[in-house]
Amino acid sequence: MTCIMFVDDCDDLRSLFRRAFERELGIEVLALRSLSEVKKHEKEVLNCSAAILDINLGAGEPSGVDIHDWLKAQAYKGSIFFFTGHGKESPMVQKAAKTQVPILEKPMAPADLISIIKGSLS
Amino acid sequence: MRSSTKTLVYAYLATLVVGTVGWSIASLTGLGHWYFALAVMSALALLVTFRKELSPAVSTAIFLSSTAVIMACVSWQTYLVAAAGRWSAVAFAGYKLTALAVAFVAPVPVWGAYLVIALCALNPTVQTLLASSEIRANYPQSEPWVSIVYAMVAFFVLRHRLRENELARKVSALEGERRTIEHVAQIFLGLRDLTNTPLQSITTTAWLLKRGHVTPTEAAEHLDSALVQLRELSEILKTYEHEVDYRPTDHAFDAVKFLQEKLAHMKPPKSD
Repeated sequence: MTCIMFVDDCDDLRSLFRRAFERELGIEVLALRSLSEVKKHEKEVLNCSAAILDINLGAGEPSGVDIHDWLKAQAYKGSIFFFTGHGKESPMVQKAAKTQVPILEKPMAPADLISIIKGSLS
Repeated sequence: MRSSTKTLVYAYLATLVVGTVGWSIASLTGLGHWYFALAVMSALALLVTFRKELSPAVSTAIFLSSTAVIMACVSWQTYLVAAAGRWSAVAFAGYKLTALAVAFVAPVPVWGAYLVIALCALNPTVQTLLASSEIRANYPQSEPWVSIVYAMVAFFVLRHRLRENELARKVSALEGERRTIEHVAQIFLGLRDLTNTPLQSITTTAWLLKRGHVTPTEAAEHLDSALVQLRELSEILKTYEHEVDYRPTDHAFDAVKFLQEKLAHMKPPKSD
């Protein structure tokens, strides 16, 4: 079964997007909150076809960019998207922009996000 | 009483007191003008030491009184030397040095500095013109012109320094404004970050509810959770409400228009 990963430090958002992707696309969603959880689920993570990474994962926590770097180091083959509520001028977002990975801005219409992910899966 | 008038009164009184005391000590002890100057400087030093924070009026008064005493000493000394039948190449030297010192120190208020420089040109001129021919013969031929030239140089130096100070003040104000704008912009970035996640939750909940993917109870729980985050933000902002200086006309306003107008004024100043 197709699987995507959604990483965000907001419990509600993880729960809501898991529901949205599962119901709309009929796929499995691996909803995680940090780099340590991503590493813990390494095998499942590397099998995911797409990864949506929140950039700011909380004070003192590795960012979504760190997860991106870790995924690349593990030769992850799926699509990656950053998902952030920070402005473009934020240093974290600027660092993310250097990776050439698409940056999706919160708040975003769920239908649009689902459509983007659907496009990347096909 | 206006500040400048008050300063002049202080300066007059300080000159009277310090001058009288110093002059009395010099006369009683039979000591020369150097001891008189020492007494004046000691009196001023005591005044400055015992006043921890000098107001602009008092510090200007000290400045004017000390220069007044110096000018009186210089005039008197110059006259005594000439009256004794001695020719002095350094006549009115005190005026020249005072004018240059004032120009380089550039005291506040500005009118005090200009006044002293003007007196440094005027006093030697008056003293030379009013002198008898015997006394005048003992003054250098180049006086009062040299004193006037020194005063003019001092005037231009002072003007240049004041303009430089004004420029530095403007640069500093612009830098302060730029930092404030940067600070406010950072606050807005923080606010945007704090609001975007709950807004995403609300948007997604509404979308899921419309499509029947969540029950109304589940949706209400998610909405509550998002509202808690927004309420936290509101609480943070509430602590700064009392800092706002409301005007009598601020009864009702369009919040969106208000923010747009305020943000339009927040464009950082151009630094040339």
